[in-house]
Amino acid sequence: MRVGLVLGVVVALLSTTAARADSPRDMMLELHGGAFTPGVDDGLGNGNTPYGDIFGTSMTLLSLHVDYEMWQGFGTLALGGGLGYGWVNGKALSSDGEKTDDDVGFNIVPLTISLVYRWDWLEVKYGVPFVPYFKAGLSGTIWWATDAKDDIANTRGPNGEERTGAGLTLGWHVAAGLQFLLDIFSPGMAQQFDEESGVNNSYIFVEVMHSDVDDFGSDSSIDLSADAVSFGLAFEF
Amino acid sequence: MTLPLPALRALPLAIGLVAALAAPALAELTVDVSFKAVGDVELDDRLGETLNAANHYINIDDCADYAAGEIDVTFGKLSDYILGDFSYALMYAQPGVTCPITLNPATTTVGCYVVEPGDDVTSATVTMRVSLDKLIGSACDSGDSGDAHLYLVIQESGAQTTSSKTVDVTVDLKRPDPPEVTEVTGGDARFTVEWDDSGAEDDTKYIVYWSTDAISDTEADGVHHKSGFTGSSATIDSGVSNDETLHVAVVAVDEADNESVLSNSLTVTPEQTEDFWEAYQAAGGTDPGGFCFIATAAYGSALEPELDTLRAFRDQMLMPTEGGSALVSSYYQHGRRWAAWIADKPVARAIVRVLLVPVVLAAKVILTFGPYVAFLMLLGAFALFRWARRRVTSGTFSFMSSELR
Repeated sequence: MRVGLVLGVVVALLSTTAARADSPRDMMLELHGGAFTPGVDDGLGNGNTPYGDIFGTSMTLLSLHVDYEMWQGFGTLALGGGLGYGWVNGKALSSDGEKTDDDVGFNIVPLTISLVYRWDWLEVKYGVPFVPYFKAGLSGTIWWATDAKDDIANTRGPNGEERTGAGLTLGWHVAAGLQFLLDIFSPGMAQQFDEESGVNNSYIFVEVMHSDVDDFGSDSSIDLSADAVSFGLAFEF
Repeated sequence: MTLPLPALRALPLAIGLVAALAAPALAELTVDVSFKAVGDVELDDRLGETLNAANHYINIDDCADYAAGEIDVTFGKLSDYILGDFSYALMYAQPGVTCPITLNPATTTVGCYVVEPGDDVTSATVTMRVSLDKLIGSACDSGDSGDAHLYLVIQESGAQTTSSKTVDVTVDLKRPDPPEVTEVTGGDARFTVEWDDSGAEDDTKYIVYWSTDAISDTEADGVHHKSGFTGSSATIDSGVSNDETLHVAVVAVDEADNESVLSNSLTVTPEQTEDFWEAYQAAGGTDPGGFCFIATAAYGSALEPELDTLRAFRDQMLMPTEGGSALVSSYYQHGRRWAAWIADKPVARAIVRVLLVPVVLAAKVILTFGPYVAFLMLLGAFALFRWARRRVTSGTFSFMSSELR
């Protein structure tokens, strides 16, 4: 209860100082940084853990998301797209399963199309600096694995056919996040930023995303599904 | 006449000053210099026959090859001195010796060889024949190192100024110290060798030798090598087989291309390792790899103009690169299967078509303008959009303001 009271006071204080800049706003640019573990091992469903054995850690993922605000009323509805790059490095395994000195990697380039709803009504109306938002959309992830020579990995399938370690896997995603308006710390600087570059609002945010990337349940696709947390900066202009 | 003591003490200094003032001043000549082999001698790139080459080296192997050989050293571009009353001298000195830069030099200096003590300049070029044995000045196994010098001296009659051109030839008969191989680690059809390069000169390069047999002769059958490494480690990832024990040694090569003796040798046995993709497949992974956006199936016809764009992008942008070629190769291995998979799934085809829209657009722009211009256009379009939006916004506000007025 005490925490709630403190938060309420802080929000009230912040809301009195917040001021929305004047120029029109119709786009949002988000810069994300985070980590996630693709569900390769879970997708196999047989207890084998090739991803964990070789990498044993999460992928680092950097991405940007741009959306166009189609409607502004009781919140903002936007349509946007994202592009990212994720990577993880590990050690190849010897025949007895031990790690060797060979460096190998796994890389992804996730592409997303998302419908975004930001409930910024409180911020617009009362200057409350917190903006929750939700996203849902389609994903396409280009991926490739590298071998010890840093080439795209190759191996043979059960019938001796060559299998190249690169591809594109489709899927969908939903996300929820919370933005915090930075302009309240320096309204004057925010106003100047708006006048000089058209950036109305600057935010920091945290976002939780669930992505289901396995070619919509295909049995013959690598599973890159993940629950991921990312942090970053966002600019509305 | 008796000089007072202070005057006597000052006499050597006075004599020195007078001698210094009387000696001709030196100036650097701007002339062409070229070498030409005489007889059976074959000059390599280190000494060279290139006009005005910046560096000249004679190493241990050259020393042996050049034994009893001669070269002609020609100084050219002397036409300015033909009409005047100019004289020239030609000489050379072995390492550790310098010749006096003057006409008619004293010939008593051991190791300084005067070919032409002084003659009138009558042509645009002058040539001296140089004994390579004298120029080198040491036995090939002496371990000596130093710069030999080739001189052209020109002086106008009665003038106090002497002009000269000195060409240095580095005679390096000292082998670099061999590195000490400290570790060799094996990988999948590859190995990495590390060595101690402390004490080596900055421009030292290294040759890595490996063989299934102990290496005593680098020229022996079955001894492989790869050269040109710098630093203190090298990875060999071609010509290496798994499950064979290899002996690995390293040789240092100095700036004059002298090679050290062979280093100590360590052994390594490269073994097959499993990368992530192999581990995924071995663990029961069923993804066949390859790109599944089968445009033909998605568009429903092979004659769609979008496909022409993608084919052109494939041929012009992807195929010339190693990575792109690998992707295309993968596409053709798995394409038909994926095409069949999406061909009877309207939703999947629609999704793929939507995803292909930006891909096709990007391919068109890159094909038309090239990748770098396309990137600049993207930035420019974004800036233009921002500018236009601000102008429209500004105009709207002005219009509203005037209405209100």
